[in-house]
Amino acid sequence: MSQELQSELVEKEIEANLAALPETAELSLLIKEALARTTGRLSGKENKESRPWLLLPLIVCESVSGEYEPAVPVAAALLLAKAAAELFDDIEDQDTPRALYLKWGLPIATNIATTMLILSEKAIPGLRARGIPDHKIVHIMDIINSFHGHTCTGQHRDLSISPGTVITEEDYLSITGMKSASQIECACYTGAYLATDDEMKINAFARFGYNLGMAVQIANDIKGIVEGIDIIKRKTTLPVIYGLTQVEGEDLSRLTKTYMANSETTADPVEIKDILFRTGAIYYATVKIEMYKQAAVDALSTVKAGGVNTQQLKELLD
Amino acid sequence: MASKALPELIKAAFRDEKTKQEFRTNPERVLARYSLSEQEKRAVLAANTNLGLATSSSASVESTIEALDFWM
Repeated sequence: MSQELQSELVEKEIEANLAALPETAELSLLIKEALARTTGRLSGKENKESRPWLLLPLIVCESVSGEYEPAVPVAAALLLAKAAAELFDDIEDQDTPRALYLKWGLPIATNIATTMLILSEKAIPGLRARGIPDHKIVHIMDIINSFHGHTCTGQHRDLSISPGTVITEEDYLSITGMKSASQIECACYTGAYLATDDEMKINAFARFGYNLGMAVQIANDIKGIVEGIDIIKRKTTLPVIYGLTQVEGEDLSRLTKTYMANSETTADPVEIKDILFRTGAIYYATVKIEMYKQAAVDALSTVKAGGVNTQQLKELLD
Repeated sequence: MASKALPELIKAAFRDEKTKQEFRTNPERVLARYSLSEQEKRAVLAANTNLGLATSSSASVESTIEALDFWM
């Protein structure tokens, strides 16, 4: 089934959840605006492509069992939680000029994010109407909350790093795994769990999701350097950690002045981007992406022998 | 623990012109001098095939990033 039709099914599921709210009109509009930011789908539907990870529960479920419908309530729950997390993230980071809390005000934005978290929880029992037994629904609730706990812990560790502190690559990868990769891991785990009781397959899809999530986050780090946004914000991402630990001489001096605590040096995106490319810092990050992509493909290979159709997931990875 | 061999290889390939040229013509021979894991070797060769030694931003770097960033 096309991703567009799958997206519409998830949207209908969310509509049904929104309809359960009292006096929904204004609240629903704001929630839909937040959801549109998260999916990438414009509210007028001019852009019908969604970010594919939001459909991963459906795609994985279909890969294993040939059916995607059982995963629709989970995809709706994860989308609502993701949109809530993005709203909270904007409030916590205060570094996005287009953030919705700047448009709505902090109290409204906080309430909208909280409402979406509640709706996310309420979406999961919708699995019963899809024929999923209660013991599986309870496990899905538990596992989703466990993954969200990982995300919150990663966010706490990230927020607790003092400005100008250079963390190790191990710490960076650990935080990235908790903050970012765990969300895609959760989407894949739940999609597989709804399709099978085979733990080997479920864990293989979780590994696929984790490694994909790591690759995606490192690609986002490189994008932040190429576009200069993360340099202006002085974000210590993987290429920067490589630069600060492996580069020498004048280039290291420029990097240190830019990223050190209380630096009065203005970050020069053109210069820093040039240093990170010229010294191999960006190349190092691209090799790391390849390592995670290969680990994701290897995870898929372990389930292919068990009759799982991995073609669509491999195509999405490429 | 992060591998020490991978940064060492990349430092050499980006800093030393002779190693850079050798890497471009025969990457396997350069890789053989470093204690890389099989996973690291595969990743370096894949990155090399896709992007070459990316010393500056290029259309291929940006398309590689966009393909994954689409997931964010």
